[in-house]
Amino acid sequence: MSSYAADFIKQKYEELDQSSDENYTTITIRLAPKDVLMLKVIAKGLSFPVSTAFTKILSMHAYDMVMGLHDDDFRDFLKKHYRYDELDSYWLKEMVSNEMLDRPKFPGFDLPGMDKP
Amino acid sequence: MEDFEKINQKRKALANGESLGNQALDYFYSKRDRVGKSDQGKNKSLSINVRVSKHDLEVFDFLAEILKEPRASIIAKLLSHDVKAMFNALDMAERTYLAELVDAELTKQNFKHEFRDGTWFWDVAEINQDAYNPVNHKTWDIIRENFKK
Repeated sequence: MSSYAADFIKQKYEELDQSSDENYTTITIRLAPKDVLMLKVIAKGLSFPVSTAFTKILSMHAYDMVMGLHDDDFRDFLKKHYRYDELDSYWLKEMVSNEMLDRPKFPGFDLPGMDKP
Repeated sequence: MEDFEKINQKRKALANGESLGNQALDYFYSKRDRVGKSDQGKNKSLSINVRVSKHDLEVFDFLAEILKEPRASIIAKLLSHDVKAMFNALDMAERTYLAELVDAELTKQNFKHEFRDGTWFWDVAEINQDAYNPVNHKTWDIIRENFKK
């Protein structure tokens, strides 16, 4: 299978995953009218749904924001969220693939030297 | 906590300080620490539904707690910048026509424009926008005075 085809299937998996109620939820966000109206015309013109337009983008923003946290806040974040059941999260996948963190090996696996709250 | 220090050093080496997420974080940190923190008054708004990963929502909940800012407000700030970024990524013709289209819709729905009956228009009318900037008024002020004579 070519890498293009493999990427296509990977993308379909992601889309399928996004439609699953188990891993995703829909929230309502209020924006300035200028932004909502512009978003709607861009979405209509380029034929993409508004509701899932930001799903991946927000994952990347969340990762960037965690990466920019003040040190104490980052330590608190890891204490609370570095868990086996977060393995599907974008931020943890990125940090593991960047070799910043080890992959949590099993439920209850903590980073050495990190005290749980 | 030696391991945390090692992780934290790697994080600092990898973090993208130029990212929107990082800039938004700086904004909310400084807003949290400011006295009398309110931004400009509340304006009218419209709602959209956004599909979000539950893992990401946990991150935004954490951010909301430490930044003392509603989760929706943090996400709205990011989305607002993203809409602008999407608009700026369009080609010139699309930018111009969509700006006109949306400005007309804002007028039709009785929303207040940002400046002189235009909102998005000013993002595509760079020359006109510069003309209204007081920094560029040195000669215009002299000419305008001459008109009065």
